[in-house]
Amino acid sequence: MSADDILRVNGLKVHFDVGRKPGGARRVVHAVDGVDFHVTKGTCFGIVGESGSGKSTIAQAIMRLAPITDGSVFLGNQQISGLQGDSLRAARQRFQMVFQDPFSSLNPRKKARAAIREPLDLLEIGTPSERDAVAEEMLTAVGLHRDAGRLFPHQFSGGQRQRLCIARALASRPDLIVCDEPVSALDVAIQAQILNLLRQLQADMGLSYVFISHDLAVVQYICDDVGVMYLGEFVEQAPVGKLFQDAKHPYTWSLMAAALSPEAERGALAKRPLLGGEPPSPTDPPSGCRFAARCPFATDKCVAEKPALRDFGSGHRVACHFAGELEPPIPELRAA
Amino acid sequence: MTDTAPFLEIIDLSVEMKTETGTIRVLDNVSLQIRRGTTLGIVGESGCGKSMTALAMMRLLPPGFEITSGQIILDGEDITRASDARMRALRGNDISMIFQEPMTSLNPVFTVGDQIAEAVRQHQGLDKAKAEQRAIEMLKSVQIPGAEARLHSYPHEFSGGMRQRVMIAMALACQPRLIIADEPTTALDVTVQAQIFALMRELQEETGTAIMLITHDLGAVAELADDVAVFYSGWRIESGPAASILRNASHPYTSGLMSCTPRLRLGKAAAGGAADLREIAGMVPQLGQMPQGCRFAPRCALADDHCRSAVPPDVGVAPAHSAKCWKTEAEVLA
Repeated sequence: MSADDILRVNGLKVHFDVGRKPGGARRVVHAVDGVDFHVTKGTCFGIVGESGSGKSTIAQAIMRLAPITDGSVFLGNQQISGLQGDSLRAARQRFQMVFQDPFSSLNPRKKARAAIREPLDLLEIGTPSERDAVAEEMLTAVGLHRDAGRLFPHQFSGGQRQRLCIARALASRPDLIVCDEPVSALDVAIQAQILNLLRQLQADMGLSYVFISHDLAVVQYICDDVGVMYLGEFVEQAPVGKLFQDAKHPYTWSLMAAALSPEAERGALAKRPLLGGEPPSPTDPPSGCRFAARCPFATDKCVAEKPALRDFGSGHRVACHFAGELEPPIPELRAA
Repeated sequence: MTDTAPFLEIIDLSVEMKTETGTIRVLDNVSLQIRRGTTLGIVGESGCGKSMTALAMMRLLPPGFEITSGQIILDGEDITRASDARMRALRGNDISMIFQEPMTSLNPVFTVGDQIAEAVRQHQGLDKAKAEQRAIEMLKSVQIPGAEARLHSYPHEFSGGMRQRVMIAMALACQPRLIIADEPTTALDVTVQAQIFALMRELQEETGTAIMLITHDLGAVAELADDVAVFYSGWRIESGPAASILRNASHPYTSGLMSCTPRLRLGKAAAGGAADLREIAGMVPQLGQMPQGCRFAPRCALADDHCRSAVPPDVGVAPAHSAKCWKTEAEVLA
């Protein structure tokens, strides 16, 4: 952990109480079950995993939109996990969020300029005319016309709406933007535009991102460090180059094996080692390795004993009893 | 009819939408062919007419939309003007459809067994016991564990991937000759998507059914399709064998799509930093505000005045491979 860290998440747990089991015992969903990571200033930290793995819950916990059961979140030197009321509001200008669906995350009755101004209005930053100036500046920064502020959300296309959402997130000049699947709802041509916009804004403004996605190729394109999540926990964490050259966790391999490519031979997927089954319920996570039930390499030890995240040097950490001993089923990784 | 004749042929199909201010052509002279037992991938951005083509084929166009010209020929039979009764007999029986969102396309108040059995009772006249037997077989064929017990489960008791398997079981229950799969895995995780694709291939090999795969993902096309048609703004702008198009895209839009798809690079290939992702500037023209000449011209780097004024022809670039573009070099016939 260095002084350059813009975000530090320590032992974060988010549990949701969902009533009682027949018999009276409490049912608790372990959405996020102890994750640690940090984001260096000016970089992008990616979180990948299947739906239900807890990726979005991490985003919401950082944004203070989900209750934090245990652990701490620091933005710079300020602990934001314990803030309440006015002090939380005051801190909010420093971290903003971009959501997946640009259709449901803009108020249809608010014009674009008002939408971008809203964070400034709520946080009472600047005078009204200064806020309008910031809104126009942000519109041009995200590649929209400065006069587009007079239009309503329905007058924009999906890609343009996502640009609006990014402009709104930028308005309060945050240090950190949490992006939850920001390109998943977009067409591939528009997806490329938004990814390149995010990269360019990062270079121009020194932004830091937490970037949540289920798409490994997108994560590889935009992220500097990656955490792979499974059922509320990180199973592997590494700098992006390290992860894609030398992934060591069987779950990471199975995500890589399932990726599609326009260059692949027809039926290539059928020849790869595909993962069967689906993740177990987060209400009653297995006591051993959470991936053991689907893992082709699992032994009795995996079922009985939970593997810790072990360090493999230069920030590469893997939670598998047999990490480094297994032969990756992906030929490209063996050659490396 | 020989096996080389296309099983489904769409010839110069146009669909128009009536609005208060006039008619808008949402599909413009689109032609397609699907050979028996093969998969045709239809690729394009949202609003390009992919799903509209499928709906026109099923004769399920929304109110206000109408087929204004062209023909749809299914196994030698012209169904463009077939009666409603004939279409009801074909739908679900000879042609069936798998939709994107399995939660909204299954009825939440009936068990999945009832819903699969309904299709076979309606279309094949099986009695209740036989229909239930059939439903069990179908759930087994899509590899749902404990099929007998799951028959009595409701859709909400299944996960997303399992629900899509139920949809596929239902689509296959009447042994259709053509399945239209409209973005069948878009709502699913990659590992589940891989399972569904593997299942679709396996079932196609067993049953010999033809598949129309509607997708925006060129990777899905590479995995499943024999042939590809690329759509842009209601035009079919390129079509041909999948291998030919993916290796040698001839239309600037298709090659643009190829270059803006991020690629996963593993092993040694991941060592260098990420290469820049190219983008296609601008966005699709709005319905009713189509440019004069080529519809892609406003976004095309190669476009000149000719492109902007005259509609391009379909130019043959390789055997069975053509592109609707003025700038494409025609195939040199030896």
